[in-house]
Amino acid sequence: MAEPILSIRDFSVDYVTERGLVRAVDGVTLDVEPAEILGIAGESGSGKSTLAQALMRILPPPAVISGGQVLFEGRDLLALPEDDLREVRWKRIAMVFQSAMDALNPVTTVGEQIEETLHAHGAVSADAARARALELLEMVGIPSASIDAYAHQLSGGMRQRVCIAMALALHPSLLILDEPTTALDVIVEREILEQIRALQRRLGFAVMFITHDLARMLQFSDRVAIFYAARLVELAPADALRRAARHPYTQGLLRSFPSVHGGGTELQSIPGAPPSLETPPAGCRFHPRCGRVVDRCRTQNPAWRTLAPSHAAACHLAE
Amino acid sequence: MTYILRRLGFYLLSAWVALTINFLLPRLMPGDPATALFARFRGQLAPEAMQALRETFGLTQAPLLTQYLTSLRHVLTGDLGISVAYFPSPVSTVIGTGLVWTVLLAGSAVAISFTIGTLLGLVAAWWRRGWVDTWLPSALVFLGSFPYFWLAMVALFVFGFTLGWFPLGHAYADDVVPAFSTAFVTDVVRHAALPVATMVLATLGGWLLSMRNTTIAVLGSDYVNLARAKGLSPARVALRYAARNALLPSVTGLGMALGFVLGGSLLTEIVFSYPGQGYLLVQAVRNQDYPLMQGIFLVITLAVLAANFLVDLAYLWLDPRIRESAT
Repeated sequence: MAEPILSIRDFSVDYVTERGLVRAVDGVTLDVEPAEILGIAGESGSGKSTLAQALMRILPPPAVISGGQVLFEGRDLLALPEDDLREVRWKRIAMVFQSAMDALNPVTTVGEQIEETLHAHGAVSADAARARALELLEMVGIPSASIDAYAHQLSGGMRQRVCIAMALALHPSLLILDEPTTALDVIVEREILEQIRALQRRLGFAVMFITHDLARMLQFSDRVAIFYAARLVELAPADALRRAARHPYTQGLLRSFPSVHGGGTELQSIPGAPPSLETPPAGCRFHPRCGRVVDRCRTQNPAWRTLAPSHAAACHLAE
Repeated sequence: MTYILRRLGFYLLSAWVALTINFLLPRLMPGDPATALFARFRGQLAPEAMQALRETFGLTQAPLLTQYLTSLRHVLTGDLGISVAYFPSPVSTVIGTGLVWTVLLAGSAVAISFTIGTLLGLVAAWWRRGWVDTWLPSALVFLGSFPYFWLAMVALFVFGFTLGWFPLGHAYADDVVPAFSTAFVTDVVRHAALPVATMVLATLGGWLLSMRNTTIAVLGSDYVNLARAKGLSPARVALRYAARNALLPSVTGLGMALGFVLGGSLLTEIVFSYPGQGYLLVQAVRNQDYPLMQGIFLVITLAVLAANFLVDLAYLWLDPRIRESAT
């Protein structure tokens, strides 16, 4: 396997609250390989979006990065001065945000917003920037007349396409998709994901795809990382995970949505609710909801075990 | 275009309602200006003059509707009647002189206060919990919560009377000839400085807080986060993204403040004996000068409406979402 383009090592993020620190991302270690689609799944509040924004260091206070290392193309993003980091942002790592409704500046045209991105990262003439903006919009299937449109004049799907076009403006090597289709209907969602996949094959960038929709993720990703209560609990290729998930939480997730291929198993939801991050349970964080809990789970935090090549999980029972 | 016409129609309707109320109010009150003026001359006027005066003020025995139409016609031709307090000057002339000074005084106070307050609000929100954000809002709100006339009187006493840095009143000194000369302009600025400064101090906190709060909300939005992620320079994020969007509610406030400029500087003008609209209004009330009062009310109403119309136009320019629904 080639050198990973992004190596996250023992990465933690805290939120400063009145009652003390709340750890939203807890000691996560994860690699993103070049030109792969890595899915990151987890319930709301499991730390997946926080992780993505913290990588680019755009998390607003009260969130603080409290430890770890983020190596991106050989550079430690956490140690990089702000000015150098601005170079990395968008040129190397671009991002598509969750809410298509709110991700564009309402008072400037979409064309201007793409062009300013080009201007911010190098001397381009106004004509060249506009030509590139048109090219990008065409790439995501937006009529060229919409270059002078404002965000409110476009549908949610169109806006998200504009965001994708903007994200690819500078040929990034990593594209972070933070629940890019949550605000869209299912058909638009599928179209957009297919478009991203086609562009990804053509342009060869890596994708970090964050969602709470595991079914969607298994279809779309090469590898999948499962988060539970701020921690990474399982990491495996998508098909391996679909066939043989090892962590009880992942197994529970897989049982909780219908198979696309119409398997006959009954749907089951995981009992209970995710724990509060203010007072996480001791030991394995999933143990209060786990059907296979043993004594060890209540006291010992399960170590990260490699179970097969490129398949790993954090569970005492996984062998 | 239809948007502008629709707004214009609304303002014309409002103006008409205001004119009507303005016409009716004095007629519902006891006493009338002719009697008041007659009394002021303490028997020096012949009783026959009473009838002439009544006609001058439009208080004829004609039916109310006729009076109303006459009054509307007069207003539309700029004839606001004769002032009682400044008899025999026409009201339009009296208001004209006061208007210049009020616009100068309160207009510059609002402009300065809005500009500085908005900038400080942006600074406070951008460097949140920095020293501007920690100290200025509370200090300014503290100042602004004093009764304004008290603040003005203290300023006048300390800087005008005790220290003698500023003149004690009026718009310009008696020994300066009103002309477009350096000497005159400097003198006007010297006279306006203290009243303007007190008005700015009293209102700065409001502008600062409103801009600070909307900016903080805007800074939390996805598009600002995206702008940061795009690697735009902090200056661009602060101005093109945060300030540009956070300014919109403050512009509404500016429109209202501009509208109240003409009536709102009343206390300032009294404390600093400044010969503006507010000062005239007090004179009008003291002398039961109904025509002048009505004239001033009319000017204030029209100013509020005009300022709101300007804000509508500004919004059209600032906010594409409104431009959209306008066409």
